[in-house]
Amino acid sequence: MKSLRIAAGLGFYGDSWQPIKASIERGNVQYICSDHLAELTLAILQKNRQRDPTLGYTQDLVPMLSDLLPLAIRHGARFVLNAGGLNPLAAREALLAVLRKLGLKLKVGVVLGDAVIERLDDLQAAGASLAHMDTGVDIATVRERLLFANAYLGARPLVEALDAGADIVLTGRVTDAALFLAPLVYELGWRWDDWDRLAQGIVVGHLLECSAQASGGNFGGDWRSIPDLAHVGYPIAEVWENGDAVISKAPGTGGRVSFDTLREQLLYEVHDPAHYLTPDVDADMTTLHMEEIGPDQVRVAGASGHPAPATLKIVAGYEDGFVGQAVIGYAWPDALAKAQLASQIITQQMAERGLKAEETVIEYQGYNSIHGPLADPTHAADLNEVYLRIAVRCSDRKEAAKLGRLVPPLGLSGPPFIGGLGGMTEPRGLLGIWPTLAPRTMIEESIRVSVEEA
Amino acid sequence: MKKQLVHLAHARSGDKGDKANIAIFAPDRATYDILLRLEIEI
Repeated sequence: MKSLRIAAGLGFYGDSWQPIKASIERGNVQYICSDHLAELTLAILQKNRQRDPTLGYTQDLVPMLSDLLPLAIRHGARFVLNAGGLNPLAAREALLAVLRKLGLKLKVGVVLGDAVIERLDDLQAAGASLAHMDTGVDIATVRERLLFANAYLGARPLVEALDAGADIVLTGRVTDAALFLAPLVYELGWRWDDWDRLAQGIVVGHLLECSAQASGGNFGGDWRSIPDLAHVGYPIAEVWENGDAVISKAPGTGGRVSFDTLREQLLYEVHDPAHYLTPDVDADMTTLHMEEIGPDQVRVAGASGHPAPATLKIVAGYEDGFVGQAVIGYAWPDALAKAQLASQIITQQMAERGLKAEETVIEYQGYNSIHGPLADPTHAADLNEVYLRIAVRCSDRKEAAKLGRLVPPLGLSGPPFIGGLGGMTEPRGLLGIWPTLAPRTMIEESIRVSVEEA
Repeated sequence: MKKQLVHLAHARSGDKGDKANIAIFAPDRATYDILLRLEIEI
């Protein structure tokens, strides 16, 4: 039976591509599928594009592929990446320029049509409310402040690009798992109504889409026992025509692929395991079987699928004010009490000076900044050190900047003794996230695929 | 007998937008059955 070996690329913009080398060299993989876009990454890319219209894609694309391509070509591996971000065409131009410089005659496909910010009126005119899908709030409340709006596309246009001969497929927003499903559908000849196989492909994609999070990174079990995370291997899947899969990693790499590391990733960000909704299939993970069949080898089979939903998810981002923040540290004895007095002084001064904050956050790092209200108060009296972090969210940048100026004087006029003052950080813009739904037919009619050779 | 959950099971959470999910994993069926009886305060 025919099978295909696919490798996890990056799990986010900023992840390391070094582990991919072992997957190519020793993992015998035919495709590398790389996820560069977290929910709000497009906001960073939007800022880049505002500064320079030739940007707007993730800028790890060119250095990563320059580094990996010589190896990948030698081993016959192709790439599928969502590194196109908000500007897949510009990403292709930048990549083609490098390919020509390196003398590599490769074909680069792009998928366009996920960006719908210019089409929101059309979508609304056709009956899509675009209300927030969790809260039901009207999109009019944020419409003027939207920075981007992108639909999550499925694997079909990616398969089209592969079918047109692309060695590298660049997309904007697609579901993370679609990056992995596309080569499976293309190479194994799966049909678009073969829901069980598509569901298996989505499960495999979901297991691989966060790179080392499936192979021992971020492991909530016995994390001390995971070997050599400094040389962690990213997960690799071998998938057969019938959908059965074995997840592994390249020999000689660190980390671990086990029943436990995989089941943690399986349910990561999954709100309903019986209905994992994607543009390609409504996948049911509750029928799945996973079994360790060797060291770092887990067989995954039996996912089932139902017809794909009639709507696609759009995630938009909007400007949501500015945060000003200050951090100041205190040492034992009475570290928390000192930090609390410092916070009292600042909040009193904020009130007296009329600093207009829509929200104020006060937390004590080393005590409750991660645990929040669940922090155990029995530790409070005898902490070695505590950092007060005070943050304000304001609609206006200048207002947010006022906070920083209240903090430095505490060095001489507050409780004893300060250490690690970080009081004067510039306010930074905050982004709100707006998830909503729209009819898939309206979005899909604007999808375009094109392939160009270097 | 009282035992902390961290000594019985492992867990991972993830989020989409403002919603987070928490997945808790039991090492065996018997522990899973105990987890089913837990009332968890959030």
